[in-house]
Amino acid sequence: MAELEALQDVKKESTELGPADLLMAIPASPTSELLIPAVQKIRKVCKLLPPSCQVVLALPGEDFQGDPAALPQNGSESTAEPPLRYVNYPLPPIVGGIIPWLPNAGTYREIARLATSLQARACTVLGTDNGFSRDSLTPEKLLLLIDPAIGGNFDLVMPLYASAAFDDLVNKSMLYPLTRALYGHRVQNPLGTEFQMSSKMFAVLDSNIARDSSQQQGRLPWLATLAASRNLKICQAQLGVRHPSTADGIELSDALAQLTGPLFLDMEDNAAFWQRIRGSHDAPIFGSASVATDATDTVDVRHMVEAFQLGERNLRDFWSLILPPVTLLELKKLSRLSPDDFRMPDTLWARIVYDFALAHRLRNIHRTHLFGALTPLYLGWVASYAVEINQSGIAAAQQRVEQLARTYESEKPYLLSRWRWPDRFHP
Amino acid sequence: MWSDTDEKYKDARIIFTDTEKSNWTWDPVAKAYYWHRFFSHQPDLNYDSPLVLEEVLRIMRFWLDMGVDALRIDAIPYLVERDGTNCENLPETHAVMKKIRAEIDAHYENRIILAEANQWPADVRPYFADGDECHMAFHFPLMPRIYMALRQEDRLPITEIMGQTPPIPDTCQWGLFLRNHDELTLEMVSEDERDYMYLAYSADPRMRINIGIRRRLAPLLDNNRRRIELLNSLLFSFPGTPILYYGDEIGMGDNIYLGDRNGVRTPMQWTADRNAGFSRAVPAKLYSPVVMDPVWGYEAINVEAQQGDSSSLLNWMRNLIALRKLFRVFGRGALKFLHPDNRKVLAYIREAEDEIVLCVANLSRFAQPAQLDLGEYDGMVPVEMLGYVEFPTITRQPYSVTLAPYGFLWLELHPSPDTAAVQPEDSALLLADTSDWTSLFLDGNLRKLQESILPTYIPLQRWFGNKSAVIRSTTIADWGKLDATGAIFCLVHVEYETGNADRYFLPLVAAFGEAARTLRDTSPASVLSAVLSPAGEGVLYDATFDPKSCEALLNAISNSTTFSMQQGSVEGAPSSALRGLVTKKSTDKTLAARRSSAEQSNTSILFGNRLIMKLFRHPEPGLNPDCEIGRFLTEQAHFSNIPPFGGSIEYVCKGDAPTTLCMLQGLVTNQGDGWQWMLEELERYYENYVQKTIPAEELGQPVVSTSAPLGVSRASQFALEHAGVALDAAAVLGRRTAEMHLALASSSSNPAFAPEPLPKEYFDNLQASINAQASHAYDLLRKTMSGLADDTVEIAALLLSHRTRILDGLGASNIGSMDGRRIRIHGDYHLGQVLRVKSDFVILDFEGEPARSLDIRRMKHSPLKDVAGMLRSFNYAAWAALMRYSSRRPEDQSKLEPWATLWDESASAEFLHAYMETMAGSHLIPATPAAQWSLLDLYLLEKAFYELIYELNSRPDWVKIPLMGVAALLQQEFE
Repeated sequence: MAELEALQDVKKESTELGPADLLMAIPASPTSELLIPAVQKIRKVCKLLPPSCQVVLALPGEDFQGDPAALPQNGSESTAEPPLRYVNYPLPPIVGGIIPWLPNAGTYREIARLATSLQARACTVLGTDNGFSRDSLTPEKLLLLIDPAIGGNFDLVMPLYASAAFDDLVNKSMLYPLTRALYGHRVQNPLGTEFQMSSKMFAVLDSNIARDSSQQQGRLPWLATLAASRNLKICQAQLGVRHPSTADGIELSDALAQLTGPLFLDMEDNAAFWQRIRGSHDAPIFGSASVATDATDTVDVRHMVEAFQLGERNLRDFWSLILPPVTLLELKKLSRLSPDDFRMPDTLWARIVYDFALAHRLRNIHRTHLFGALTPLYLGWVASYAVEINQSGIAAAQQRVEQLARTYESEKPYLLSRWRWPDRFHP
Repeated sequence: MWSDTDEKYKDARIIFTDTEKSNWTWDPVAKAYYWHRFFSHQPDLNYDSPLVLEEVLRIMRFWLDMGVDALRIDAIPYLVERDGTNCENLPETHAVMKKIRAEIDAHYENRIILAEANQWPADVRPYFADGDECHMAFHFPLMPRIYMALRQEDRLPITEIMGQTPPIPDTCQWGLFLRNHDELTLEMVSEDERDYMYLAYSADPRMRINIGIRRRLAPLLDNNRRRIELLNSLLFSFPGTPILYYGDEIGMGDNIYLGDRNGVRTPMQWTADRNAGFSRAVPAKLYSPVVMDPVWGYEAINVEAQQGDSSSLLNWMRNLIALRKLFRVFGRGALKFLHPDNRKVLAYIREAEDEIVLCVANLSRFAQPAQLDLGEYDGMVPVEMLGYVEFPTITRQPYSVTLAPYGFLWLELHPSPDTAAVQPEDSALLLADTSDWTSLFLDGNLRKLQESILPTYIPLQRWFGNKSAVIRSTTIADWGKLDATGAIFCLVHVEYETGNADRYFLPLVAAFGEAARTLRDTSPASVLSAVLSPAGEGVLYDATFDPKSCEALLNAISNSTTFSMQQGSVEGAPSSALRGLVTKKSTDKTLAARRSSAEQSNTSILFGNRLIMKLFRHPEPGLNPDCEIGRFLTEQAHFSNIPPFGGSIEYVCKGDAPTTLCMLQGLVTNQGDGWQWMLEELERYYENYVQKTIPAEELGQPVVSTSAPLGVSRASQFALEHAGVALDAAAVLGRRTAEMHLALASSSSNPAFAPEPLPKEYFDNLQASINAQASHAYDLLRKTMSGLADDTVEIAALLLSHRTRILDGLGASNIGSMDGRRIRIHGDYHLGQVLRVKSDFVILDFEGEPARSLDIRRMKHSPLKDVAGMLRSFNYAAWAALMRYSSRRPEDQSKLEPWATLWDESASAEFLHAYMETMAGSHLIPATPAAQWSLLDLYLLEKAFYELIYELNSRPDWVKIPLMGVAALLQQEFE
């Protein structure tokens, strides 16, 4: 009953609440089936915090949208529990988002504003896809996320999930190695949706998004790159196994555009910063690593290789607007390989991603088409990765991703030279 | 500004001399003169009138409200006029500017005022005022000098004018330009310079107007792309905001046949279409005709064509602008010119915060070399900014560059990769919970400790013995938590590239917050690593720097505490004397812990003024002789001239002998160690007798005669009169040494201490050891001889020239068994191992030579081995004190050498006499003088060769002392 009663007492305005130490925010409207266990979990987290810590839970929307009658009528610990207060905040519409579980900048800005108005010391965001309700995310793990920022020692605590070898491949092939090479922080899940911000970080987030146009409020916020470019301190917390959210019905090229496009835009905005970063360093990791259960089936790469070969035949002229001749030649050679022999060298892949980032900046082709042209190349990389990693296990996959990340770093001078002097007359 | 007369402001010069004869023009309608500093169709406003100023502000607000970002204040020096002045830069003008600025600041954000003042930089500077007039001002005099430097192929005009440019407020900025809508003004150059510029850049008189040249950038540079790029590279890399004149980004030409400055104001050439895409009007109706000639015309030069050409000037300019925007240093950095000998090369550094850029420009038509003095950037790596190409690393030597004709280089100076790559987070240990120490020794933390932290930390410690070895790996062999203080005992296995290995003892503890910051500031050497935890940043450091951890060690001994490690356990054990030591009467009632600064192979911790704990950093399995002998002398032999033994902490692991980690002793109040005390005595001795001569009879023969039994010779009366205090001390020391030996030999029932005979094998081993040492010393001497001092080389050469004979002699000498006994001895006996306590001595440190194994250190020897050690120490003291003295007064060296010999031999004689007198009847020393001397000489030789090897490896300046010692001992071999 405690949750039900408390939820019915949600304050509409943060001004009614007074200051808080910690704001915990849910950035998507959860169903009542998910919300109640989540609130119970948050209450357990509150028990682990110092008794003086004032916690406010922010729920999106004008009102709680679930059916109160459907809430479980259990929970009788309210009298002994530390106070947990509730507040609503407006959930802006998602502009142009194709992947439903990805947050948008507008939502984060609302949360950041709320945290600022509550004079919170830190703000925990609990994920947009209701992943926070999973059993593997225990209160103790959530505490790993909360502690570093509430203590004022880190400005952004990003989640670190255990994933299987074939999960999260867009991140492994592009997002993680690219952000690591650019910004110098080894944040392994730069798009993690459960994270913790210090007051410094949410102030930056608020002011940064506030400056953007309303169109950009729908843009995927890259918190790790934002923090890195402001020289804020970043760490990671081991949050256990998290299975990837469903991507059914989403075109791969659209997903690439939505995930990678904002990162390419950030590259333009932060060029003066990332061009001076050399090498990379660890973002400290708190907590012990969990191990995901790996699928034992061999991945069939034939369709991916065929998609790559088709792309090589049909998009060759298009690619020539983006990629230099030596890369095109390598791709041509690759297209002749059988699926079993298919190997895309890391150097080639890193340079391809860098050239696409450059083409995105130069706008010499429409950006929608750009990600369409990237798709068969990405499938080529996935095929190559699968051929190498098949049945080798998670540890081998991790090493493979680490090796790719190092290649992105070693190839960064290629990006810099292309970025600074984008001459078409290139080898 | 109206006037009835044209006689006012006569001192104001006429600026447009080509067209205007006066600054006043008569208006027949108003029937008055009006004032104009420029054309007569440009009447000036009267800013003295409040109504005029208000109207100007109103117009200004109109444009600012429209969203205009910047206002250019044209001809700013001439706003106000006053009789008796030249009507330029008057205080009243600044008052007007302050009002304008205040109006903008009060109502608008992010707007700027740009001053147009064709003046010297020092005269323009007041328009920045204190940052409360103009935000920016054009830098006029730089522009013609850039052209002059280019044509003369000499950097001087540029460096001179920049040298005359004063600093400006941080909120202000210079506006830099190569060309603008007016003529290339030559007002701010000398007459000669003006003539040169006319000749160089305006062959056709139609190119000249007023005091300047009315041409665009590209025609001025003969349409040479490399020259255009070079000048733009200067514009974009000099301190200021670069301002491009429209059309110059595509290399537009001009039309000198148009009147006034209209030749450089022709329509922008957008496309190759009609009117250059500028206007759809009938061409004949254009106000200003487009340029149409075959070279400069819009059909050849236009934006559209250049957009499609990736190598066009337009695209080059775009790239350069984008590149400049990446670096704040260009706008805000300081400028420092370099001075290469070749004046055709202009080189300068731009530096702001962490950005450093080196710019080098070749002003010449031909390739040019230059040597740049970049010593202050030693170790940095220049990276060419356009292509991100790494150049050779900067050293202290002049940095060579070669530049193509009109070439330029922009080079970012990066820190050397060694210093740039490592971030604190990389090496920091992570603790999810500050009370959970286990995680320090797991996974990533363990890897960091073993692979980077310990291999870096250990070799830097004074207690690390194998400094010349290369560490291959470090492994945490065992660890355990001491108690609630959080201190951790670590045993680290260090393996070297040679395959050898050592074990080191490291007590560790962590501190967070302010305590950690204090440690970093006050004892940075104690810190192994940063520790990151959700609760804050901290450091992992040597627990001997933490008083609480030290007190926990003391408690572990006094309470006989045992605690578990991962593999073994650690046990504290007090001695029977500890209670008395702790409770003894003292002015200092506390046992507050503090770390001794005198750290060598061990670390010492003092507890109040009563106890001292020694941590053995390089512990070996087996009984530590220091503990073993200390306990024996305290508890069994009751020898009182040592610090009383208080207890120990030992590490016990199944399968290994116990390992002593710590030893506790009573703290002895003293006047310093014997070495320092003797050096001070010697200092006074040399100071007193430097001007005196030793009588001839004192110099004739050695004080210690080897023909007499050991201990019979005495110091002469002369020596006693001149060095009596030191010689008395030597005698006391001799007596205490003997008493120590007698105490060590006092138990026949304890096998570890029972005296034993001196068999022949002992001497065989001793001789073999001396021979090996001698051979090694000779090899080293030969290798290092060229680096020795002149006076040392002479003795070294003497020894080397007799090498074969000496080694043969050492090998041939064959001692059979002897009477006398071998017993446990001190083992590393010298003046540094005794403390001066009032007029007595207390003997310390029975650990033996730490570099040797425990078995060797616990071996029994003739007590004469300790005697030899002390005699060598007297010799060292005499000569080391002389070296110190003569380093200040080299001229006295030769005068004092006989005094040094006298002191050394007399101290030795008194020591030996007292020693032998005390040992009389003990049967520990061989009975015959020959046996006594031959055994003592062997030990002396062993010690002297040991010293020689040490000094050759570590202190070449001291080599002379053991060299003289060896030479003296082997004198008979040279005869």
